[in-house]
Amino acid sequence: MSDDPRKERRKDILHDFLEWIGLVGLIYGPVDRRLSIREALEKALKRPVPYISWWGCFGGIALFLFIVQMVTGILLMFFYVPTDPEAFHSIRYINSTAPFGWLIRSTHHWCGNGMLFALFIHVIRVFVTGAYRKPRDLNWVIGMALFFLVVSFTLTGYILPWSQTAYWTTIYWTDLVGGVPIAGPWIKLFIRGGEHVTGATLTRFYALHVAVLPLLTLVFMAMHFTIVRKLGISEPL
Amino acid sequence: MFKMFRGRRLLTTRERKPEYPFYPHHVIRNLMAVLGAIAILSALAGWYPAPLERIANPIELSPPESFSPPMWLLRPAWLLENILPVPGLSTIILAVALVLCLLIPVLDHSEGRRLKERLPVAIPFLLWLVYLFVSTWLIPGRFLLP
Repeated sequence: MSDDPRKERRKDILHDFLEWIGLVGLIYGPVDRRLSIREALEKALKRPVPYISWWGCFGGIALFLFIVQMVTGILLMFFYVPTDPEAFHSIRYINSTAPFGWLIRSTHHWCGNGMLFALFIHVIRVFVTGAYRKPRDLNWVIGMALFFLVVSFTLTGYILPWSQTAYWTTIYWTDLVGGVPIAGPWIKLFIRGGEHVTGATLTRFYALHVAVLPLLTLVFMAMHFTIVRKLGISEPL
Repeated sequence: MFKMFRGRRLLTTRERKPEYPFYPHHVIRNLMAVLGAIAILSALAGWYPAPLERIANPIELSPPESFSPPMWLLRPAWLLENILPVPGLSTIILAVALVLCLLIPVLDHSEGRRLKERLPVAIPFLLWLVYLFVSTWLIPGRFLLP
């Protein structure tokens, strides 16, 4: 560190100038001067937190995979047609003709499984470490709701290729829901959009898969992370 | 005092565990974990592309002979349905299990955080996990078909 204040000042001016002429500085600089985002970010990043083992990374992995799912899902939406029987043909088009379509679809498929797996490990880790206890009990409930939402993503997304296995799997699990006493038959009728699994079911599941469930997931994720931020990460055992 | 004589630690006397700044310690660790996940999932996506079978045929009245629910979390229900004599009981059991999972913080009245101090909650939860693992991975669905 130099003791000369003039030298320090000159260095600061040069630093500011270089930052300003840079692309990020040109766009982001004026925003940061008004909102002090960088200062807030630095404060957040330097915040001390307890030691986290590798097992503690599965929540972050699930979040990352959710982002991948959103990106690949939007790319798939460019080609997918959610009607019977065009759904199957559009998937075949994605698989064979669309540029990198097979890769995007496979990534969506495997990241969906990966997200469920990561969440499963995350839930087990939270249970084993007893991190669900007060005051984090509400966060456990929100986390479990997120887990059910991800399962719902899988269930509603499974029918979208409109293949034989997807069709019978949907019949199977909607029958399972129909087996719930009292409300079951009504729920089954509502989610199928009729007595049987048809094109109406496909369109309904598509709407749930791309609009309703992502919105709900984003709301619950915001709540989950806000509580983690407020209460901090639980101490290891 | 009595607890201290018995060799237990009082909550107030328990020393604080060391803390680390979120950046770089946790950020780098999470980043490495995410990169590992990307590597595994990219390899899977490249080597085992998502399957596409024949088109659905709603006119068919019964499932194909080799059909069993291929997804995670449906296999446990499938197995329960084949084991239990009363139809519909599997749905009720699954629904109750899900509600109990949701209510774990309410059901757990133990003092300690360690698993051995939470046995009334830990044993059913771990047994449930074992059932999920066995029914999902170890029992192929087609063996359950009549």
